[in-house]
Amino acid sequence: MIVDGGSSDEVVFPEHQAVISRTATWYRLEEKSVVAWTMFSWERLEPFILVHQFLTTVWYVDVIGDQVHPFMSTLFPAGYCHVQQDNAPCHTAKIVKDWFEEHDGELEEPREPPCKLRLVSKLTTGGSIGVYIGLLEKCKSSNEALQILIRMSDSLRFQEEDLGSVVKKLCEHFQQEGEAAVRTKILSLLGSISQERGAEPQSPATSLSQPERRRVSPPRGLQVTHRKAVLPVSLDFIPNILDDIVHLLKKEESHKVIAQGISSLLTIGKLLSSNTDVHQKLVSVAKQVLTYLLFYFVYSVCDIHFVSSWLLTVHSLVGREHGSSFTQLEFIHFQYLTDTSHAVKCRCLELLGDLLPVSGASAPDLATAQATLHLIGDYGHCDEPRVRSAAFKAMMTLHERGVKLDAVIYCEVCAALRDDYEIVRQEALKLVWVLGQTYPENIVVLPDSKEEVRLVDDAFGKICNAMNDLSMDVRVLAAEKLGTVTAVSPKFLHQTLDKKLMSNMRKKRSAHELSWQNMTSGEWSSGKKWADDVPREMVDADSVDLMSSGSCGAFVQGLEDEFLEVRSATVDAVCKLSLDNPQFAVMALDFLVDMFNDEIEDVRLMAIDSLTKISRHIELREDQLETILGALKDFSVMVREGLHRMLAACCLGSKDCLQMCVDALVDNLKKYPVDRVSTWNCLQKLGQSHAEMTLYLVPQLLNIHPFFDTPEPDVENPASPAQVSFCRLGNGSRDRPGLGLAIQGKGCDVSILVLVFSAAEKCPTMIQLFEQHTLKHYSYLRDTMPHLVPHLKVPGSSAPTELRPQQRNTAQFLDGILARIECAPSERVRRELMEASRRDLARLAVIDGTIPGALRFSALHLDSQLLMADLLANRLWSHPSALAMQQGSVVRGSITKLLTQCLKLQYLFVGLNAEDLSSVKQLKLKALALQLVYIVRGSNSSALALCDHFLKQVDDTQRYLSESGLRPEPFTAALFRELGQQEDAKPGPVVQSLLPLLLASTLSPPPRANTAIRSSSAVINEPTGNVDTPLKFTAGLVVGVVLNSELRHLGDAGMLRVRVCYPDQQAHLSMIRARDLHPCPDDPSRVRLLSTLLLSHQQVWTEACTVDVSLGVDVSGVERGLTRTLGRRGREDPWLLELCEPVKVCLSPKHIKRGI
Amino acid sequence: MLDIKVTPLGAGQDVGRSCILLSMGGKNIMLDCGMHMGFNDERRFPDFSYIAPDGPANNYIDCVIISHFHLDHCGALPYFTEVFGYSGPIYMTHPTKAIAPILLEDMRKVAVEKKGDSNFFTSQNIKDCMKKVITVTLHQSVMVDSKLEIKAYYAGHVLGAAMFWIRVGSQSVVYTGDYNMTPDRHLGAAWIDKCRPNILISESTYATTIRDSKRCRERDFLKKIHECIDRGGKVLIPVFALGRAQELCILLETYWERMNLKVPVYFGTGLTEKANNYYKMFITWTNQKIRKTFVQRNMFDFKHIKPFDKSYIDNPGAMVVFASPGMLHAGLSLHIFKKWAPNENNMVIMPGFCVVGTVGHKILNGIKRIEFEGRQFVEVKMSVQYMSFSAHADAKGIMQLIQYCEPKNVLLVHGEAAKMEFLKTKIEKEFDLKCYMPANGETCIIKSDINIPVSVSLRLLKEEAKKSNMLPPDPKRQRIIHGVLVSRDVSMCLMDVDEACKEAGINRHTIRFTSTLRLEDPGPATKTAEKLVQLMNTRLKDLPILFTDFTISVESVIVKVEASDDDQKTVYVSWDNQDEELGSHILEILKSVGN
Repeated sequence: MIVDGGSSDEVVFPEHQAVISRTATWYRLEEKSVVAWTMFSWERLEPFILVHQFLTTVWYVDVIGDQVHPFMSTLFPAGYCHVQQDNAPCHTAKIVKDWFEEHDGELEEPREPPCKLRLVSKLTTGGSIGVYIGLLEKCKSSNEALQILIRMSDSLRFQEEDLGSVVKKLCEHFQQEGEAAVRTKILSLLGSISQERGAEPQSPATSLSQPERRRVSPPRGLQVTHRKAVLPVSLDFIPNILDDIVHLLKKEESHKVIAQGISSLLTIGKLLSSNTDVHQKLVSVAKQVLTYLLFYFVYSVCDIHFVSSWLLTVHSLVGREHGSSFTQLEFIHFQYLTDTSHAVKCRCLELLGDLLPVSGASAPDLATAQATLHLIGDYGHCDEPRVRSAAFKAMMTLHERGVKLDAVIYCEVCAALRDDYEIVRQEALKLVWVLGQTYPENIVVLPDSKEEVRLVDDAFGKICNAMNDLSMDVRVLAAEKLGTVTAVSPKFLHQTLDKKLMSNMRKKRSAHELSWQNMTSGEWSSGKKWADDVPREMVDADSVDLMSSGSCGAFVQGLEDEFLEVRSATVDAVCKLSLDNPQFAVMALDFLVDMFNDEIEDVRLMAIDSLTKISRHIELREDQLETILGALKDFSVMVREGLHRMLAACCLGSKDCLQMCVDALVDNLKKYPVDRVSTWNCLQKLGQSHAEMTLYLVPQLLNIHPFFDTPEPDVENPASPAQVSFCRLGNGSRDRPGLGLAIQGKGCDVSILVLVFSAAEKCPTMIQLFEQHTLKHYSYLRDTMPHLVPHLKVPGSSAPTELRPQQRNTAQFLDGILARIECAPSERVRRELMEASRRDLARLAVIDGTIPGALRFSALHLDSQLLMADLLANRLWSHPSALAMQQGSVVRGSITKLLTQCLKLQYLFVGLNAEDLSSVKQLKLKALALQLVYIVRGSNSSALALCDHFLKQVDDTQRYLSESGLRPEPFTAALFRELGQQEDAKPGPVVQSLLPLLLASTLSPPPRANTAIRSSSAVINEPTGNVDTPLKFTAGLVVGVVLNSELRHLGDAGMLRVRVCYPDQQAHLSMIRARDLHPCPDDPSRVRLLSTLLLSHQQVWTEACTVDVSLGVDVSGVERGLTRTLGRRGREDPWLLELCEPVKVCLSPKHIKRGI
Repeated sequence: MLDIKVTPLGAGQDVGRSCILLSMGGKNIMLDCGMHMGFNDERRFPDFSYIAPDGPANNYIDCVIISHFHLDHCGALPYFTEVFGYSGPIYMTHPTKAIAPILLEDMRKVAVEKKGDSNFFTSQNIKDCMKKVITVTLHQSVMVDSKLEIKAYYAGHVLGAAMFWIRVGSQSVVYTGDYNMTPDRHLGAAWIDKCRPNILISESTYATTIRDSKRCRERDFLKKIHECIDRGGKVLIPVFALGRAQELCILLETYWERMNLKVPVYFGTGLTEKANNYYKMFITWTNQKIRKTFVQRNMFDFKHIKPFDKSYIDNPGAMVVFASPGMLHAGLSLHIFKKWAPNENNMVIMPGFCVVGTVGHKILNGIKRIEFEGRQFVEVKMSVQYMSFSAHADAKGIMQLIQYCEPKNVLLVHGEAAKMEFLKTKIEKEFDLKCYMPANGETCIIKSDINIPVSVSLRLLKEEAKKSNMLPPDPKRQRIIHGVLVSRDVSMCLMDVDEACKEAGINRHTIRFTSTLRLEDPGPATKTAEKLVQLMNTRLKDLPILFTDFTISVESVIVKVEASDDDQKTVYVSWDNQDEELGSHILEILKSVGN
């Protein structure tokens, strides 16, 4: 829910203490606003009361009388209060005043209420800059001018004709202005003006590719009229602006203004350079202007000899062939690079980086580029850190734009890694990384030892060192970069996980090595002895390098960092590096497992996901598995499911591992029954990948004794884990209660059976081991959970022949049915066919798992068609007299149902192709037409909004059809024709023309079968719908309920809502926060919803009552016209398309203890 | 005056009673004022008579700085201020000031009431002492007097532990106290900026150790506890009330939260409860996670950890109990231990070091039958675990800190001599820094360069900046400012020559040196001059040479060629006294031509 700023606050002062009561408007579901009222003080919090009407004076008096007055008199019995209010209309109404008169002495309203604070409203006239320009001329002080300029930049909108004069006026003002801040603002405005103009004429595709363009373009009308005419003009204008800016800068002395001027030039320059392909000609114009200007500029201002020498070089260049694009710009930099202010220098370097020509492959171009690069490099030694940083950044930009950096600079850049300032270190780090990636094989000689190493290794070591940096940002950057250095030698890589432990000068094994050793020596139980981690051999004091150990332990350090940003970046880096390096993956495993114990859940999840990714390289040992399984007990569903995925993907070392794993999973299932599905999936995968190991374990798992029959466990044993899982197994068990009970009774967990059966597919010998009841279980499970239990060749074939789903057949069947409908000889036959196939398809969608989406879609489509036909046939809807009678409500209900079904077709299915969608749209159009006719003819409510909506939909459908090149159905075609002739858009005439069309319309065949269609659905895992144990909470407060659900094939997540239906027939919708939706990593169509639902008892009931929670797609936002006219009703809201059956939650409010 | 002297009164090649005297720039500073827990006689306090043989130390000490609340860093403070006599300023951080008196009072009680020590400070002494304390916050720069400035940095070791940067004039020293470079569950890692002090006085408790990742130990700790409570056992964790206890509590609390465990966790009351309140208050001193989440819930508002009552000892079922003291030598922890030891389901986890002779030490060494006074024997069947959680920097951490703050010298204290020796060689080898490790009472004199601050007039600087900005920066190029050094009263100032003249009211005189040479060169004088120009061009490459008719001028040097009767040419060389060097150089060149 989004809370809009409170509309009204009142403060009541009972002698020195403040009580604040507050009415707030809650914007819920974008459209509907809800008014709420509450009071709070230091002592007490009153409940939040929702007001189901608009704030009126009557209601206000009620609140004052029923809520405020008792509240005040209980809290402050002797108190004498003043009410301070804000003069809102309802506070000053007569009845309110009367009430205060009546209760004089209890609550007193001040005689002269304080005035409401008024903010100066913004100028909104015209919205064009032209208006402001006029104001600018009139303003007297600099401050005023600045205000106006700020407003101008806020509403950057103007007519093309004005542009020239606007720029001119701005320039004039610039020259008169004494205040540097105002001049700066003018320059920035000039920059953004040209950006606005320059970007607009482009085609939408190109403008999308320019992320820097933030401003909203002018209203549509404007854009359309200008689109053709303005195109060349506006870009032509830009050189003029450039010209102006350069001109203005000439006499400027303030560093700030110059810096802004250069950055404006940069924005314009970027604009021009990115447009080179499209507007070659314009650019060359711009270039010429620039050339002329800059020469003038440089000659007149500079007398520095080195600039003139540069000038000569470029002069010759320009003379030869127009100069390379924007070489001229560099002059600005040479001029201004010599400025003493760091800001100016930074801007210049940025400009150089962004605009230096690199595209031309001609030798002089490249030579200039290299020379400039060198020059920029020199600024890496500047005494101002910001300039140093800008210089490195410019080098980086140039590198990205294609100027190759020279490996020679490596040493210099490395020196910058020790800079005092983190901004410099960051940029230098990026450069080191780039150099490492570009010249991996170059040889670097280490300064002290004369040893030669590859450049990439050295760079890797340097970046590793940055993991010890003082600044967190640098550490994060270093960790991120480390992950991408895949070319590093294994020797260096492996060091990152080795800290070279020692204790009192003796070499020490890390806990990981210890456990490995214990493992291999067969002595597996540690921790019992005091000091079993005693250090072993002595370390030679000289051989220990504490500091300059390069990459040594970099990741260990990063994983232990104080900041989660660093830790998660490190986990990510370790994962990335492990992907290509199996050996490193094995080493990293222990460290990643350690991260399961991190204090931040995101980091834990990340570690688990990383482990899943690298699982193909590793084989888990028992000790490692033990730690991993420990994390299974985690309370967070995400962590547990992540672990299930991880376990499913990994490779276990021995059969003991498998045993441990199965035990842990079963235990876990006992504790968290919600994890049923993901545990079974995990066990299925485990069984498939570890078939041989499972074979050894079958006797233990299934409790088979080699010689004896084991006694049957007690059937009614409630502690049996299977019972828990079987209760939830689904409705399947109802069909065969006997068998279900038998499995329960055996105490044999479904989980284990899933594992064993999955393994048996790979390892048929296992089947011989199964006892008779196991085989029975097999056939039962195979029937209920075909996706988890594979087909086995059971000997003796005691199992019933099973229905094997045959995908091709279903699709063909569907095709056949639809084809038959399409080529039905007559309307009557078609109708009959449709009736028959609707039933068939609906049933098939339930029993066939291959293409349920397509089946459901077709069935629903047919159903809607038939419903429509029924409605049209009885003609009731067009006769007002008939509607007034009993049938009226039936008709209304049917029409609403029809509309809902159309909306379902449109919004609850994904993967619709153009044909499907157009068919759905046309069907909806028909339904809307019917609705409109009904409203106009059969009821007295206003149809204006509905008609408007209908026309919009017609427009939309027409556009859609023409865009996708499909032919409209006869009804739609006729509709377009009729409405095209229609001039008046009032409901009456529209209905007049619709009526004959509707009467003449026929059934249209459903679209061809499209197997890509998937239907959206949701399963609520939590709350579980168990109403036996009510949730107790204090009355007047809210209670949080965990909502855990899995959504499949969700269309637009923004339309997803949770609906809570209260026993008093009220329904509340709430939006889902985007961060509560977690897409499933291995299947993007599945989305996991984890959220806390806030429920209250609304102060209307006091007993334990059930509340229904369901998920749905809310279409009221997109189909606004419909909702507005037809309204929405609590429980049977036609505009909320349900995704799942509601789940019951039992709430039991407890009494508030009075007199705390 | 210019040397910095450091004299450890305690903690020199030793652990315990940290007390270091620092004298620098005429100021004397006492860093920490701790007591030794191992002694009961006068050796427990530092030898204050070293400062002033018999009397108050007011005139000898300018300020006292306390790094954190551990007693080996602040235990002797009340004695020093109230008994020995010192009334100057004492600086510590807010949490230290809050918690130190609790600990001092507790120790005083033990010493006086239990051991019957008479020569000890009183409760009132502690209160009086605390009144003299001035608190500082992190990164706040405090001027003790006009010359002495101090600033605190985060040290991580315990709540409120700080490193102090101390500056007098242009000399500065960093004193680390105890610090920790790896973050733990409730505190962050030590942090300092590149302050480049003259000396870094660092602790070196773990000078010869590089530690394994903390995560393994935490994981082990949690796993053991979880296993024990799963089998219904009781877990006893003897802890010292402050510091580690809070870390372990947070660790357990988050684990309980995460695993949704319901087994009760208890905390032996008393000191701890009081201290926990302070932990709740000083959230800004804790680590990222606690700082970020305290708005929703203060992590020290334990949800699962409740105060312990003695009646709970015999409660059935699993439980976890934190109880002090940490070495099982007395009090609640020993009481519980006696009750629980005979059951093999139970477990005791020793989270720290135990002194020889305590029960803790005995059980760690595997003794299964322990005798108590009164012929009482207890069979130890419960499992005994050792888990070290130490909050000192290891060798790598110390080196890292040195790298961070880039000192000119390093001085090691608070550690064992042999271990220091190793670290000392490492520091000298890897950083090429001088490293010292004075023993108690030994004065270490560290020479430092003399820096004389000179103020420069803005105009001069700007001119220079303008000139140097003309060219792309080049680290090798020298940047020269030309001016007059004017000495006023005490300060010195570099001024432009003209400006200085004006201010002093002196007309500016220039002295020129002139020298005449005779050259043997036939031909007209212009030819000779041209030859000379060429020569000078080759010899003086970087300087602009102007040439008109008979005069060559280089900067202020003027060379004039005059023709005399025969082939002899007279060459005048004249230069300003500022260009003395250039002038004589040119003269040399010309002379070489003559020969």
